Amino acid sequence: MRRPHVMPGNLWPGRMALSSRKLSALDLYSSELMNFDEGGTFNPIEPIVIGGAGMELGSASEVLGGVTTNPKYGSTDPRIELVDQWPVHAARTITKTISWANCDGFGAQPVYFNESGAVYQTGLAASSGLNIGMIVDGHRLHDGATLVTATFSYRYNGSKPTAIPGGNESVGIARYDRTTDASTALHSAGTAGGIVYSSVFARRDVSTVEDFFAGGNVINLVFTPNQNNVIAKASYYYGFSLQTSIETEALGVKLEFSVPDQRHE
Amino acid sequence: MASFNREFPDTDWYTFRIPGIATALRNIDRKTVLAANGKDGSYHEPSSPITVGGAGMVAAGLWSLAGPVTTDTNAHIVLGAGHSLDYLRILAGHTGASRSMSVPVLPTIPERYAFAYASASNNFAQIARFPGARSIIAITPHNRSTLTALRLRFKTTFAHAGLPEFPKFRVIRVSKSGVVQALHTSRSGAYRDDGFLDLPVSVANVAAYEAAGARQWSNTYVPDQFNVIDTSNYAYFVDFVEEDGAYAFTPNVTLVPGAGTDILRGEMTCASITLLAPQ
Repeated sequence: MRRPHVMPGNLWPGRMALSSRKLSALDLYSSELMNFDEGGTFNPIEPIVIGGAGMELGSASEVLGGVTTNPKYGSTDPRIELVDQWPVHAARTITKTISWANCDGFGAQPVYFNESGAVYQTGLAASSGLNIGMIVDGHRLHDGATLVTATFSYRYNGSKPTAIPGGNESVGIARYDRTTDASTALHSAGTAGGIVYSSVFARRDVSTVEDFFAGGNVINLVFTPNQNNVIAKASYYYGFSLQTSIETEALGVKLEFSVPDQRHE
Repeated sequence: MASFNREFPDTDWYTFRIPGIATALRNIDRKTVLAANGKDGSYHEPSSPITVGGAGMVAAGLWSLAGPVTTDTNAHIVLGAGHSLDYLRILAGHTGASRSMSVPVLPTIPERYAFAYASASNNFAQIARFPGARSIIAITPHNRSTLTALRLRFKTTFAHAGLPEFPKFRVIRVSKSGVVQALHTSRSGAYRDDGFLDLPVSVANVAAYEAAGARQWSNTYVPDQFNVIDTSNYAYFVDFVEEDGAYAFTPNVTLVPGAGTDILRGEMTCASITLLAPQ
């Protein structure tokens, strides 16, 4: 509520005796002003409405109670517009599951899909395993996010081999240069967390055929990138692969990202 | 804009008969100087934050945030519910107003038993087994954006005796009732019937077309109609037709991938994005 004048401006005389009443009112009104040079805490009974030329907040500000926009849409209606930044938030984890439905068999190894969308082979080709790969749709990757883990889920659905196959198993994640198509590994070479990393590929560090076969149950190979894992779609595209050498059912890949902001995805 | 000015400097105030009145008036005057000018506007750099609780503030005019604004724990920015398009908006010039995205070319939807395999070059790519084979590649452009460009990365794998009828492609949208519309008008510029565009850029001779089997970028498809993406009513695809004619590659009907054009991936650019809306 706007305060009235102690005395309308056109009624102030050139000379007058100061009344304690007017001075008291001036003192009261001025005590209710918002101190914009030194700051302060204010609890208005009614909202302070600022129209006209509006306000500009020139330094970092905090909204403790939240902000609500007026529900309308149009070129001149209330809105929050972003000039060159994204709304940011504390790093949060998002998880996306990628189906191998966007893959196909490498070379002469056709693949098929079962009713759950898993990839497998049938007939004679099944014994040669899988060699599948796919590019991740750019629409599904959050630019600027950090890929924390990629969990490849698959199982060996045939007979247990007598020894760890020579070809073993290999999952791959790589980023590819959009201009040259050159690949870059997301983990340095070496063994970490029970995973052997080499170039863009990884496999479980197992020494017995029993551990390798895992009873035909679902295997979750967790690829944990330690380099080049901040998504940069302006420069790169990203792909996944899975290669095995015995009968295999590929189930999917779960991607876990640490996301710092709120972009399109 | 300017902060209030003092009417008189401190030394011009004189002592009244009431003890302390001079100090009181000086303080009142100081408060009006420190307060915001709600009529003419004013500029302030508060030495500590201005905290407004109670009934809060209403921004009835434009608020410009030159510094970052942080919400408190459990506090929100709530967008009005009056319209389905009430989202945070992106000004033109924001990097997010345009997106360039990779386009996987698998899986392929074959028109007939012609495409089914990843190529021998890598297992991200597709390749044909028959000349003239046609395939549909689903794409996911940014909803409500304008699709401004799409191109394919490819390479030839066959030694041609002469120039074939070139592989071609177009971008289409398909309505819920199955109506297919090309995103470029037919026979306009380099575009042919039904909005198709030749795939290769280099077409002067066989050597230029094959580029020794190196990876090439296709011509860029620049939609000139139906190019505002509306995923609520349409699905979007690349419609690719393999090379054909007397000098086309030799069909390969074995399980070995074919000898046609190796389509590796695509890229598309979605521009004029104005909303930060879920995709």
